[in-house]
Formats: sequence, C-alpha cells, structure tokens
Amino acid sequence: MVKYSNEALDNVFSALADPTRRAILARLALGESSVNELAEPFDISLPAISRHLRVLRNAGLILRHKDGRVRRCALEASPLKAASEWIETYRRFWEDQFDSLAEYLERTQETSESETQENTKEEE
Amino acid sequence: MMADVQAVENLTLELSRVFQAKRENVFRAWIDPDELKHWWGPKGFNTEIDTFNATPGGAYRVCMRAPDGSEHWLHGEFKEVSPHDFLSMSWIWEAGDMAGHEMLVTITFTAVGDATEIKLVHSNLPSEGAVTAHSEGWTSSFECCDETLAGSA
Repeated sequence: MVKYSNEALDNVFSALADPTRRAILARLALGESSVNELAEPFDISLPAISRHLRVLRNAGLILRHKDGRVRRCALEASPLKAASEWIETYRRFWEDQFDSLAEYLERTQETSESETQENTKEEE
Repeated sequence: MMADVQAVENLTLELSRVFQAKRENVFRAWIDPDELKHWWGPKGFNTEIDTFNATPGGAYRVCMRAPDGSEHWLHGEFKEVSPHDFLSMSWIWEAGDMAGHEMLVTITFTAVGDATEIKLVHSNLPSEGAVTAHSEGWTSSFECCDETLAGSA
C-alpha cells in the first residue's frame, strides 16, 4: 500500500488554495511554457509570479528546466493526482452504495407490485 | 485536469443518480434501519447497525464488515431530516487516519415523474494535517494501481 506523507499533501493543498496558482496550472495543463509567457495573462509582477512558481515547485506540481537561456516550466501532475485520487476513493464508495441501493429498490419494488396487482390494475 | 484541481481545492464530492422508485420509498430506504441494512455498504460487505435514530439530533453508528473480516465503524448525528426531500448527517470514521474528523453528508431527493433523483454532497473531506491519502483501512478495499504516485511523497 502506498502511503503519502502529510507534508507532501499539505503542500499540494496549500498550493491549490490560490486562484493565480490554479490558473498557472491550468495554463501548464495545455503544455509547457516559459516564465515570461506564464506571467503575461496576470496583472502582477514577475517576482510575484516567481513566488507562486516556487510554491508550486515545492509542492512538486511543476518542473523547471532551461531551454537555452529561457527557463521553462512544465506541469507535474502526479502529486495532484494523489490528492484527487483520494477524493476519487469516496466517489467510488458512493457509486457502489448507489448501485446497491438501486438493486434494493428494484427488488422491493417488484415485491410490492406483485402484492398490489390483485387489487389494483397497474398502469404500463 | 481542471476538474481535479477544483475537486481537490473544495474538498467536496458531489454526485447524483436517478433511481426508478417513488421518492417516499427512496427516502425511507435511507432512514429506516430495517431497510438500510439490506443495501448499505459496498458489494460483498456486511452491515451491522448498532444505533440508528434518523431524527434531527439523533445518533447513528454502523459497521461495514469487509469480505476479509475487517471492520469499519462509522458514526455521526443526523442534522436535518426533512421527509421526503432532504437529509444531512455528520460522518466520522472511528479508526484509520481519518478517525475523529467530522465530515458532512447531505442528500437531496427530487421527484422526477415516478422516479427520484438523489444528489449527494460529501463535504469537509479531511485536508491539511488530517490527510494521509490511501492509508490502511476501508479505503484499501477499493484500491488498486497507485504505484505511479509512489514517487511524490
């Protein structure tokens, strides 16, 4: 069984708690990009963008590499996946529950219908 | 990708499904322990109901017993019970990494002709400090294929 450290997930959750950082990730989901390109759509300074990038990097959500003289960032989705898979576990749990409930309702529905059939004529 | 970002940020899970049954029947299946025990728990699990008082402020305590015999106790309190359209309850695991963390489950029942739509929201999923994803416990019963994530911790 894989175990994640609390710290690693804490970093992911705090990194995602900011709209600018989420927008940066959304942009990177489309493909890697330079720091300048990332800063463009936002009305904030380059140092401010750098700070956001540092938070994202600490959370392991982006990778940086040099392309000649340009620094480029790429999305690293696996820590995000760890957090969202954990939510996914609950989704699967409830989907399972819904399946069981649907089967149960179908079973009991049939029973009550056959009971009432003698008195009442059911519509189609 | 963005769906992931949003789900993680809100720590809230929302899902809905339409059931081919009248709303009173669907609602009753959730609040009557004699009915609940027949369907509650994922496939292959057995359900034991220790306490179940589906009234506002009433307590419940149930156990889901996995096919391997492991027990997963859960308890909480009904916050709102509004026949036949709304239910909300707190949700607290008794063991595992999420033990003691209070989550909230709300269920809305809407009649759609002779069928019923359920909208379920599971919120206040444990976040900072409380999270150790995919640890031992009941979650392992639904688990598979997480090897790719091992490097991120």
